[in-house]
Amino acid sequence: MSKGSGKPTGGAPAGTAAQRKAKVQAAGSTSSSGPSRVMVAAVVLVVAIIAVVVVVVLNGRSDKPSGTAVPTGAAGMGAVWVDPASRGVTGKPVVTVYEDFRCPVCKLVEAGVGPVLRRLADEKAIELRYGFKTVIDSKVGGHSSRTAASDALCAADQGAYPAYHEQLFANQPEEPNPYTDAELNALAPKAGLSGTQLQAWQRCADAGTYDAYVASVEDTSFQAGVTGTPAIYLGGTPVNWGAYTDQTGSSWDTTGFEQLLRSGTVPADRVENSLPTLKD
Amino acid sequence: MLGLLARVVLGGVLIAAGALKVTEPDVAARAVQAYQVLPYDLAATVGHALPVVEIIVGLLLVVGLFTRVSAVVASLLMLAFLVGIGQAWARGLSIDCGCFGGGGQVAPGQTRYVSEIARDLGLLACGLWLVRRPRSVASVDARWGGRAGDVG
Repeated sequence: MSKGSGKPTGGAPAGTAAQRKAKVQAAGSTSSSGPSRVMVAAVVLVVAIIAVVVVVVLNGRSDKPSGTAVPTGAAGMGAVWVDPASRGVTGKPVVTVYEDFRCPVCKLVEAGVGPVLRRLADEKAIELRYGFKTVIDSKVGGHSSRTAASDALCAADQGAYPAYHEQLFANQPEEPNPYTDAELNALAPKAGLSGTQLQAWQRCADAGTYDAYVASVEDTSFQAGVTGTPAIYLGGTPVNWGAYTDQTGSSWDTTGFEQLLRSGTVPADRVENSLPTLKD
Repeated sequence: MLGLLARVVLGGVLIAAGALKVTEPDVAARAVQAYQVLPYDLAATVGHALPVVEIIVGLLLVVGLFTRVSAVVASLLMLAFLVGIGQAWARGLSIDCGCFGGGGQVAPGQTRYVSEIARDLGLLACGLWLVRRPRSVASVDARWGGRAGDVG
């Protein structure tokens, strides 16, 4: 390189620029023999457009799983899922838990108030619903929040939802690691499934039967403003569950939480202000 | 030399940003949706396409091919990012820009709007410099001997 070509590009008089250009050309230009700039520009543009289209089409498929299976207990695609113990329960406080099996805080909340929720649902004191979210998939990648939820619904088909749900949180991988398929498969026997039930669960899981349903719930709830997990709603009102635990989430006021759920209404000082109020 | 510096900085950042996002399309889609500007499905498509565009424009800038057109596109991208981040801040959303992967909602105290805007302003300055003075050393445009503004 000649010394002149290293000068700043700003403020050079026209003569200097022309000299520099001549030097650059002399230093090995291919302008006369190579392809024209217009040709190269056309090729670059076409390649760029093809690359964008291919990526958009492929990603659109991975993002939106095909499938139309709606689990028993959900009114349709995008609708929350009613816990098996709460089917047919009417006139009781409606508690909706939005959770992601990969989310560490969900595990914390599950450990704290999960048993209360389970007991109240089994006693028919509340109508318990779940909204399966895939927040961690969307933050760190992968699809195992979605797969875990789909597999939990497969377990529900075999009557083993509460046990599989419990196993999922008990064996939650440390963020940002995903659940592997092998890990999810190993949880089914631990949740008490065996024989033909286990086989049916495995077929359901291998087919990703409820992937599309779980994705639809994530989409619907995100658009409604439930963007993070865990979120606990009593009726349409978001509960500030943090008010029932200490800073570390290790000790919980389960009695107070149970009273809140049984009352069916959230006092103003227990409303979670970062979440929207939902219908129902 | 300033032209080369602007190319490498702007192009390098675009390549890095694109490469970190292109392998996680769902994350990229959610990051765009979190801005709450575009319709939900369109935002997902933009999220999927953006990393590819960033990588292509970044490569063109680093090698110095069609510098002016690439710089125009890169500057428009930076303007769009600035508008997106600015409106999120103004509307009181709590999101990460998702510029280098990740993104989406964060806790209200964890936003970094000031540094994100400062960075994008700096990159916009690089882009505008190259739009005005696309010719620079160690570029394909220069070796080609044509004027960098002719086509690119």
